[in-house]
Order: sequence, then C-alpha cells, then structure tokens
Amino acid sequence: MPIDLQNLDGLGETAVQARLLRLTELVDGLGVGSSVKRGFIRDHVLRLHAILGEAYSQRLDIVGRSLNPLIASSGEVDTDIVGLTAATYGLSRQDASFAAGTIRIEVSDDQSVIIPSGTVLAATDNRSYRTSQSFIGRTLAAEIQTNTDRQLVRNADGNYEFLIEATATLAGLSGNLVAGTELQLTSINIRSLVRITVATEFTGGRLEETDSQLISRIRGQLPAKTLSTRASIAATLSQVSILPGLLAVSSIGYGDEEMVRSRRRGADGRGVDVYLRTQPLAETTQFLLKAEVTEVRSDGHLVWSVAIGRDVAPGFYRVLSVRAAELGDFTDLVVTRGRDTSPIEGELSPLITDNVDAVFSRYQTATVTGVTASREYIVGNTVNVNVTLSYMPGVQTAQQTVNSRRYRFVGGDTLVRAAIPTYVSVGIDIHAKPSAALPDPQPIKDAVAAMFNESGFAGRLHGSRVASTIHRFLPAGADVGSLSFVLETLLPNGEIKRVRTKDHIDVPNLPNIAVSSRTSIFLCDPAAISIAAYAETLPELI
Amino acid sequence: MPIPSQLAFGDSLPKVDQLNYLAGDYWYRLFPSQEQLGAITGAWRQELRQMSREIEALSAAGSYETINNYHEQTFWPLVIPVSQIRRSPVRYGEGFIYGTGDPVQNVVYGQTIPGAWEVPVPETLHDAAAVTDRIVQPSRFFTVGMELFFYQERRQRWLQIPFDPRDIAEETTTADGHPAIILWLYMARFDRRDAARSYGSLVGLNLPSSDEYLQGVRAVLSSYVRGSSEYDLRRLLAAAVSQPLAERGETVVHLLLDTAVKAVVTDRRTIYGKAGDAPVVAVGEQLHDGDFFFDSVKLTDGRAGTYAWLDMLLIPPRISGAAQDIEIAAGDWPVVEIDGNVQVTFSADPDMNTAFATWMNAGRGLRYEILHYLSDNVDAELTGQLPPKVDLIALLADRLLQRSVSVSRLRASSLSDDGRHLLRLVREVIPPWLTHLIQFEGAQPLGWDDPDACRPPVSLFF
Repeated sequence: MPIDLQNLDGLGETAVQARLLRLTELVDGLGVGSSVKRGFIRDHVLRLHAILGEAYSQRLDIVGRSLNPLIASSGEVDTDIVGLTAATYGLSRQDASFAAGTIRIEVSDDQSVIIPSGTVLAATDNRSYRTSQSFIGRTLAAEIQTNTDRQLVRNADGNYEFLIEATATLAGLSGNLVAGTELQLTSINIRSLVRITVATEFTGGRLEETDSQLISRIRGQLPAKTLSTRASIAATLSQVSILPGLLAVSSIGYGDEEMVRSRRRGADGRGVDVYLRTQPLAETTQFLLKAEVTEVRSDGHLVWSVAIGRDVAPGFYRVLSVRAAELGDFTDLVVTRGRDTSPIEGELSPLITDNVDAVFSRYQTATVTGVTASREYIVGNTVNVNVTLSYMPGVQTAQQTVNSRRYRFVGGDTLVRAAIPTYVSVGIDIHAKPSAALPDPQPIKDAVAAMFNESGFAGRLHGSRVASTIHRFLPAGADVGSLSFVLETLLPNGEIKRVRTKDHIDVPNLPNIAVSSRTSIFLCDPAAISIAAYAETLPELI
Repeated sequence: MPIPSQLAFGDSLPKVDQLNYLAGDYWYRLFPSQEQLGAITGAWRQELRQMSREIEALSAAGSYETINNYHEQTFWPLVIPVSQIRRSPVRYGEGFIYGTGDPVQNVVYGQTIPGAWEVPVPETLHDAAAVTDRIVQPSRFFTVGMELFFYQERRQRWLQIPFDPRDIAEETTTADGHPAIILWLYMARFDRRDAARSYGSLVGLNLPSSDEYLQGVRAVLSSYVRGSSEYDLRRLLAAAVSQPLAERGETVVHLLLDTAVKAVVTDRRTIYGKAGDAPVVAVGEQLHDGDFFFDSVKLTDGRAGTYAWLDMLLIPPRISGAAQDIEIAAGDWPVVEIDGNVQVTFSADPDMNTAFATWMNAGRGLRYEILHYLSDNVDAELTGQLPPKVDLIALLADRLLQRSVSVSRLRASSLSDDGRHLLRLVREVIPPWLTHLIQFEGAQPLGWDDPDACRPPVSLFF
C-alpha cells in the first residue's frame, strides 16, 4: 500500500511538538479526569500519536505529490507512484541505455581476423566497450557470408581495416566516446594489430530517467496541444507521437530581440522560431555522400567539395570528418551553409530570406570543402566519402509538425531550429588531505555533464553550482580547489565564439544574430571534463 | 513487553508498529471509561480532520483554479521562550508623535510603548484570526487586527500584544528545556508557498503567496491549458495592480468616490482601489467578463476607439528594428514631401527622425501607409494630395501594428509588490506571433529595463 509508513526519517521536531501540544491540550480540555500535560500518558501515548500523525501526514504529502504533476517537483516523491501517474498521461519511464558506436580495427597483414562476441575494448580512462556478436574480417568479398562478416579494406596508410559494432559496458552518458579515440584490447590478442580506434562516435548512452525528469515530461503534457502559446508549443512537440524525449523548447516570437528572421521583412513580421533540444548531447552519424574534385592546386593537393542536402542530418551542427577509404581523412574542412526552401508536399514552409536564418533548421544545406594529397584525380572526378555529422535529432519531425495543417495556425510561419550549441569543457582541481581517499572521477564527470545538459535554456550557470555538484562525491578531507571552463559557441553566421572563464558560465548575448539565453544551450560531454587531484598538507588549526 | 522510553526519529517500521500496538493497548488500560476514551478519540478525530483538510488541499492543487494560497491550521501552538518576550518598541511610521520633547506627550522612536509587548513568530506565519489561551473552553480571546497585530521587521515577524502575555498564557517548556508560554493561534495561516511550489514553479516565478500572485499565475496556467485569450492577459495585468476583474453580468450599484479610498460596490462584492485610482465603471452599468474596475490599468489592441487614452507610444527596437526607441506623442504631425519622398516631422530630434525613417523603409513605405490611412479618413488618395498633418499614433495603431501589437498602460504607483514580476509573464500569455507593449504612468519600476531582470523564463516545463 502506498500509504504505508516506511520509516520515521525526516520528521520535523517542531511539527511533532506542535501536534503533541495540540493533542495534549485537546485531551486535557475535554476532561478525562487526570492531567495529561506531563507524565506517562503524554510521553508514551500522546507523543506516539503525535509522531505517527506527523509521519502519516508527511507520507500523505509524498503520495499526494506523486499523484499530482503540478506539485510533484516540490519535494520528495514515491518513485512507483510517479510511474503510475505517468502512465495515466500515456508516458513511461525511459530505461537506461548503453552508448553504441563503431570501432575500426587496423591490421598490417591481409589475413582474416576474428573478434569474438564479448570482446572488451578499453579506453585509457577505463571506459570499456563490448562486442555483442562475433565479427570476422575477411580478405575477399566472396568469403562474406553473414552480416557480421567484414571485408578488410586497404587504407591510405597501407594497412587493412574493417569496422565492428560495440556497446558501452556501463549505461549512461559516460559511455559516449568521440571518434578517433584509441582503444585497447583487454581480453584477446590480434596478430599484426596496428591500432584500434573509434570510427563512429559512441552515442545514445543514458541513465534511467529520474523522477524529476519524468515529472518534467508529465508536466509538459498539461498544456493544450496547440500552437497557441509558448508553453503549448512545447507541449505539442513533446507529445509521445512526436518527440517524446524532448528536453527543452524555447519559442521566439514577434517583439523578441532574437526574432531576426521576421524583422528582415519589416515591422509586420510575425514569425515564430522554435529552438529545441531533444538529447543531452548531439548525435553523431556517418553519411555516405559524394565528393567532387573542384580544384587541383599547384602543390598537387586536391580540393574536394561535398554537397550536404537539407535531408542529411537536418539542422546539423558540425562536420566532424570527411573520409574516403582510398584517400583517408580530408583536411582543412570549410563548411559553407546555405538554404533550400523549395516546397515540400503537405507542408507550409516558413519564410526564409537569408541563409543565416536557415542555419540549424531542416532547410539548411551546406557545402563542405576539404583537401587531400592524392595526385590520381582531376577536376570533376568523384569519390564516395563518409561524412560524419553531429546534429540534434528531431528537427525535421518538429518542423513537419508545426508545418502540418493539423497544428499550424492559418498563415502560420513557424521555423524549428536546433538550439544554438555552446560546448562546455571543464577543468576541475580537487584538493585533498594526504589521508583522504581519492574519489572515482567518472561519477563526478557524469553529474557535472548532466547538470549542464539538463539545464534547459539556462543562459548562465555559476561555478558554485558546479562546485556543489562535485562536492556530493567528495570524501571527507577533500574539497573543490579551482574550476575552469572553456566555452565554444557555434554562431549561426559561421563564426565560433570561444570564452575562457572561471566563475560563471554564460552563453553569448548576441540577439542581433539570434544568439541569447533564449536560443542557446550548454552541451557538456563527460569526456570534455578533466579532473586533477592534489594532496595538500595543511597545518592543523587549534 | 517493556516500552522504550523514547521513539527516535529514523526508527524502523517494526518498532513503530510495536509501539503503535502498545499505545492502543494502553489507551484502553489507562482510560477504561467510555467518557474518557471518547474524549481522547474525539481529540484524535480532530487531528484526523486536520489531516483530511491537508489531503483536500493536496487534491485541490490538481486544479490550477482551486489551490489554496495558505496552509491553514485550526489551532496552532505558539510556543514562546520567556526570554524572547520583549516590550514593544515604537517603529518608524507608527501613529505616535515623534520627537525629543515631553516624554509624557511624545514618544521617541526606539522607545518602548507603555503596556505593549511583543513576541517573535515564525516567518512563515502569514496571519491568524485570533489568539486564545486554550483550545477547549478558552477564557481569553483576542482578535488579530483589532487587539493584536503582526509586524514584519526585516526577516522576523512579531506579534504585538497590548499586555504581558505571561499573565494569561499557560507555562510550558521548550523542547530543550527552557521556560516558555503557549498562546494558541486560531485559524493560523502559514505561507508554505503552496502556490509557488505547485504551479508557480511551472511558470518559473517563485514568490511568497499573495492574492495577486495567485491571480497572475492562474492567468498564465489558464492560457497554457485552454489556449491564449484576451481574458487571461487582462487577468494578469489586473493582478499586477491588485485588481480583480469583472464577472459577466456583474452590476455596479454604488461608487465610493468622496473618501480617501475609492471603491466600486457591485451586486456581488466591493472592490477597493488604490490611492490615485479612479473607477472606470458607472453606477447601473452591467459589466462584461474581464472589464477593469479602475483606471490603474488600460489595454488596447489598436482597434479604433480603444486607444484614445494613448497619448504616447514607445516602440522599442525589438519591434521596429531601428537603432533606438521611437517615441511618438499623440497629436497631428506635419507631413512634408521632398522630391517625392514623404517625410513626417514628428520630433525635433534628427536622430529620432532617422530611426523612424529607417524603420519605415525597412518595412512598408510610409507613403503607402499614409495614403491608405488617409483613404479611410479623407479622400486624399483620389485627389493625390497629402494633408498637411497626420496623427501618427492612429496611423500606427490602424495600419502598421495591425492588432498584432497590443499596448497596456499601468499606473506605476498602483503596482502590487509582485506586479513587476507578474508583468514578465505577459510573454507567456500571448501567442508568440503577437506582442505586447507595457507602458507605465509615472516612473517605471526599479530594474524594469535591466536586461537580466527583463528576461522572462523561456522553457516553462523543462
């Protein structure tokens, strides 16, 4: 029974005393014949009832809060009852998930390689990944028989490589790992092994949804599912059938400083720009595209151009790499963003008159140029390239929703953009007495990253909040020494704004290019957090 | 089975159960008569009733229209350590004669008031109806607001009592053994910030409970749940100046105009205005949903006839795109035509003219607007002649802003304590493709233009 008392933790002495006094006064006033204001009856009968009364009252508070999403965030809740409440809104708690990605195995010999199921690969910071299937790297295409057979491909370094899939051994953000990270085999040996690297970033790691996160989603279901107010726009997009995991939404409208798009048309502009965050971190995916030689430089280097259409990772943030198997990684990548507002069947597209207004939206296109050293190609030649893009998923789905007749208002001019990213790197110094045990760094990194990634459109966070988050994990005798932050904001105009700070963390306030606390979010990868611990011998003060 | 002398917080449930059983047993052994048992269970039932009221409050919180502002206790013991009882000092602003003259006639600021005592009360105690010495068969009963008064002094609240409370209150000891007295507060209301904890947090505004706060956040929530409406905007604006809104069919029966405090008496209630407010309703008038009672708040969406009071309009750059605010005063401004370009001279400040012209060029042509404005008023388009003067506010209201910009004017002196914060929520009540300009009569509130303070919450549910 949810009303059952579990324990008497957290009872307030003052509240119990008030109940005891009231009960004593009532019983005494009702004339039971003997004094109850002190002595055995008060201490053992009435006091007990006062304690139980307060305990039940608190328990009822918890149950009531858990049943009511309006007040659920205001205090302790019962996890099971919150789950039941969520069910009445058609929501369920999101399970923990393990980051998944692909790993490149490079060997020097053109000989078959077997990677058994359960093979563990570890990064230098002890994060580990495991294969859930057996993979065989085969030398000939004709030998490939199953979907876990891979062909060894000769790469630009003259080695042979193949890709395998793996997942993190632990759930949560800490399993996310950037492409290019070197891994080590811990359970098997491969003859002629050259190196093992992360080919496609490990992403999608998530801890089980907490009560407060689930309550936030329940509360998001309260407003009308219309495009009527800023809150109802958020509720519309966070519907289970549209973007159930939506984390933060901010709508910029007429009269807001950041509404640059509409002001280009003069004072009569009445558009709405919706900025959203669907995941704690941007997702990374590899896309197979075509690259074309546009220039052969005098030094023999080739300049390649890759066109990225609006449907390739809609609203993407960054081009992380361009790689052709026969050419290796392209260097000197330059991204030029454009727009494609050609009509889409069944949708009423927003009015976009400048490329910068389409950035991070599903109408964004781009041309990426890169350089390779090969001399075997001429202008006009093409090759297949793997382009790795980071992006906030769901931009296209959200745009389709606000464009659709079911939701848009008549003449609606609503543009959805991925929230403008401010990437946060954190340096943490921990000072401890020599006798203090050093804390495990990974939970600290996860908690600090989560604090940034769950901050919505906070605009500003203070170092003290980071310090207090870290402090929960520190043993006695250890303290947070200093903090340093490096912020990197990807501006819509293509520039990158870098800031180094120590005390507070701000997103840039540049409303004239639609960048402000209303449009920008913090993205913090646990891998971008470094922790240094120092032992300090301090004089004991008497 | 021995009874533990004390039940400690954090004890395990089996111990609680065990003690509960024993307590029940002892109740019967200690109070064998039906009368005695009835008295005790009657007291316990009162406790249960208190708990049931709390449950009701919790369930009421499920509806944003019915949540309680304050947590109410029928009787609440105010345990006052004797050492904290003090004589009441004269506070600045109290109705005494200040000075350093005759100590019999005059009271010096800081001096104690003869015969007046005061005791500290919890900061969360908002008010109470009365104070008594006992719950059952009280011998003394004092009305708060008549005989006793609450004072707020910085962060500490005090209860002022016109006699020594030790003369009537029962003696007891505090939990740590110090001598104390008990006064019973009847209908004590505590501000547990229920409103802020429930839907206040939804709208990103956490303030102490107040009627205005409640009205304001209800307006915002209503626009969330039911969609945006002018009524909710009116409700929010009215909350900022501590006004209720008229209900449909409410009829004005009397106006109190000749007293220091203005009041509107309707067939349903009496609404008091603040100093300087004048009623905007007339005796006998049947009111509509959302009508304002006093002129401390005005609202127009630019429709003809609704902006007659708008003697000045300040268009900020976030709407105009100009480099600075454009301030336009009501009145007829001369129209000048130079080389086919129409210019409206509306200010002696050339920068202002430039800003306005920039906006006009960025948007629709001023000439186009003027011609269309005039075509509705004068037959100028047909004759091809421009009139020598034009009313710019009428032009903006009728043409350029086209009801996508509504304007309110609030009397700054009538703003409630929470008014400045509530006005930040206007952005959440209106659809994002419309905007609203808030203007003040008198000095605008402190910090209103502070960019940080002006930035309302952006993501309300996440």
